[in-house]
Amino acid sequence: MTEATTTDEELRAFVKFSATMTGFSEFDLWGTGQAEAYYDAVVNQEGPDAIERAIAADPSDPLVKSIIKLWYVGVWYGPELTGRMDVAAWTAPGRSGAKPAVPDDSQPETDLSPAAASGERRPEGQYARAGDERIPLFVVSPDAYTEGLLWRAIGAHPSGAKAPGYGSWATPPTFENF
Amino acid sequence: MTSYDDADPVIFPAGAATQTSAAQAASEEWDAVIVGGGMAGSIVAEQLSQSGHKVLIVEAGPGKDLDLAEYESYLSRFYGAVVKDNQSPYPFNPNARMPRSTDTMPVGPDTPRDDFYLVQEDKYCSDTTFTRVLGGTSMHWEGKALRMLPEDFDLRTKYGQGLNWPLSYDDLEPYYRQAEAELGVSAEVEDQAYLGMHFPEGYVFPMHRMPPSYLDQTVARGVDGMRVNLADDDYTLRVRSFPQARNGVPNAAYDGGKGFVPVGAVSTSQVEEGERCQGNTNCVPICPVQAKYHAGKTLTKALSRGNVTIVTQAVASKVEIDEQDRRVTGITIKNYHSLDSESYDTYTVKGTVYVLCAHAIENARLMLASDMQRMSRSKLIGCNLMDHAYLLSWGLLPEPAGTMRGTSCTSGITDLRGGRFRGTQAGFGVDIHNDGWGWATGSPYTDLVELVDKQGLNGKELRRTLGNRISRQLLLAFMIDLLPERSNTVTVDERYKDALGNLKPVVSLKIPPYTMRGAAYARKLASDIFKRLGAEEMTAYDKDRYSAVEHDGQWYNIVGGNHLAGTHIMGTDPTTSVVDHTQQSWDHDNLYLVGPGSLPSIGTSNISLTMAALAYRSSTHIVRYLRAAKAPATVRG
Ligand SMILES: Cc1cc2nc3c(=O)[nH]c(=O)nc-3n(C[C@H](O)[C@H](O)[C@H](O)COP(=O)(O)OP(=O)(O)OC[C@H]3O[C@@H](n4cnc5c(N)ncnc54)[C@H](O)[C@@H]3O)c2cc1C
Ligand code: SF4
Repeated sequence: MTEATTTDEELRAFVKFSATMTGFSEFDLWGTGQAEAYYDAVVNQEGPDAIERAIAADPSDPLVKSIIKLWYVGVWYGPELTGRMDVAAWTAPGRSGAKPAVPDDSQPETDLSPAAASGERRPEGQYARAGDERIPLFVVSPDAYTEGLLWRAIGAHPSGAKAPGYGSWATPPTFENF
Repeated sequence: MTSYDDADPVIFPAGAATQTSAAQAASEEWDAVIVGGGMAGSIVAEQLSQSGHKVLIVEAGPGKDLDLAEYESYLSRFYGAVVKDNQSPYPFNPNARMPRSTDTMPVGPDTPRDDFYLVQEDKYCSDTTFTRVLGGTSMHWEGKALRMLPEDFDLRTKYGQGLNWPLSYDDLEPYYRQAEAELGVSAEVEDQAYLGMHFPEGYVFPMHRMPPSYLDQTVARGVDGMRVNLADDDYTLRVRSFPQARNGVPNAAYDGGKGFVPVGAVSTSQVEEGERCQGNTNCVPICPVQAKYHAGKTLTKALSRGNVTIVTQAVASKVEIDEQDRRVTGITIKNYHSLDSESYDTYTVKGTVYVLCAHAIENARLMLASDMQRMSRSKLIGCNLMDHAYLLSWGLLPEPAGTMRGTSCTSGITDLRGGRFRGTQAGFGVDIHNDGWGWATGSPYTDLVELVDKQGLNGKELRRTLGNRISRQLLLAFMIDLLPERSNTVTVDERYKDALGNLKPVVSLKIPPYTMRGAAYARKLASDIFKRLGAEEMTAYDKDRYSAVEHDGQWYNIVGGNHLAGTHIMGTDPTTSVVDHTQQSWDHDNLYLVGPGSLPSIGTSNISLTMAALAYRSSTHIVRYLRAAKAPATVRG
């Protein structure tokens, strides 16, 4: 078996596992167009055996939780950030008129210079390279944000993209059957 | 994301924002030099250009900002940003920084020098923001466009509080209409004629009101008809739609039946952009389709006339004054070369008249850094800083209400904006937030992290729980009046400088008891409303946050309103105000300070429509000033 097929199979296994963990179908997950990017992110951050470990792990494992959140919002919250509500608030889109300011002692150990924090992108490929230092917090790509499953789960659309149309907000919400 | 290369059509008359160099601008004489290409600066420039005057705008932000490619890059940057606060679409610019809520902190001797822009040394810190890019704060304002109440203009006389204006509602009324046309306001007169607000016979707003969200309708079922008693007066509450500066359905009856043509995106290439609001729920920090008004729309009109020039990357650093006659002789700008470098060239630009439109904090900062307080008769430059105090209350509705859809906010409760109770406590407006608890808690991301990490949910149960929970979120934001207080200030301090060596603004804003009495009442009212709606109370305040304020033994979190005003208030007397009713400086004849800084009070309406109306009014005076100044001496004699 060539290495390419192995990776391919593992990617499919990753999507299948992710479908169970997220509550969306494999079809939905492929439809986001993000499967490869997420697969890469997990492997590059957590090592070549990360997918295998996640599939074998209990769902309460921090690695599995990181993968679920990745699909929902396109953000890689490294396992060490599990349960960090302050980091979650920080990454949420929206008016910050009052986004809780991040307390000095809770900055994730990542390069969040003002430039990085203001969304300045690193050159393509600079995130998540195997062997490089790990980066515990990043948005996989601008598309990853708009493709987040969260928006579908809440019967809405990503704020700032995929607008539902004028006046759509006046009718009762509908949720997908699943 | 569509990408645009250099060959793509851009909004401005090609290259308008970059075609004149700072050196060239400094070698010419201008009729008017305007500092700041935001909402105020654009309106003044557009009006002066219409009268044939030669206008220079110096803008601190970078140059390409208002072509479509740059606009799209804002969006892409927002999508990709880790920290999605309301400045996240804009590139970090060390040479013209802006405050971010995430750099809100009390600044003391141990604070790293570069972690913040707004210097706040007090324990209470405001997370209020403004934006320094071409187009200014209007790039990410929310677009609520309420008029002030007639009683707001003479609060002192009526209720013994605050300051009277040198103008009345009726003086400003025609300019309100002009501003409503420019901003493209969607509303119905029958919704807006309350608490004394009146409109001329037959007036209609340019566009019909935004449809109220399903969430609004849900809240209205519980609130409409609710009675409250305040200072011996009875009030009946109802949910009412807010006027909004965003494109809806044009009203055919506008302008005596001529109708209204909405201004689209500032682009020649995108047909879909700038049309009707599509419900992107992202008005703050940036509207993806430019359905929301931003100053670029006005600026484009001004630039297309050919007599308006912009120089960007030009930070006004000093107002030059003739010590003898106290007239302004020029504005010194630092023209930086790029966002990545601190190298810059210094020039002085000269005009007949000077108009500072850099927004409340920056106008004051610039004047104080230019040592103008020394010449001020009132000594009030930078004093009376105001901003609405926001108190958030959040609860969980019994049924899904469609939260997270629509514009940020379509309706609210406005019946307690005015009334005799203002003799003792602040009035407020209430916003019903279509974007859920985000402002208060960081929802929906915090809900996700809580459900996954803390409750251990996954799979279909997670999906279902998320949908159910977020769709039931109700956030009421109380926007509370804050009166002018001399001790609430913007100052400068040699210890704090930015990359170009310009002094940073030092802000001290304390929330007065009058405002807190309004906040305490608001908290109680929110609980009563939640009860009527069967909503579970979720509000919790944290006394350890920088936003914590104690009142009557209770802690509240008061968050910034982004409605900065009052740093150069207008009045009738040079010893108690900085500008007169035309926003002309009392102390410097050829200087106008145009913007929210001139407001002597902010009442309970988001400030920009009033600021825009004042900018139109002042423009007529500036045109008169220029005519007189340019007229042959014999005529003046
Ligand atoms: C999140 C948010 C939401 C808001 N929502 C609303 C709302 O719903 N309704 C409402 O009425 N108001 C709202 N506001 C307030 C509104 O945006 C401002 O009142 C308005 O933009 C002020 O206009 P301005 O032209 O005076 O200043 P700005 O729009 O801030 O423009 C000032 C300009 O001056 C430039 N500048 C600054 N310093 C210098 C310098 N030294 N040299 C050269 N140029 C300089 C800036 O780059 C900018 O272009 C909101 C604000 C925020 C932040
Ligand atoms: S709801 Fe959307 S389309 Fe409408 S103004 Fe806000 S961001 Fe723009």
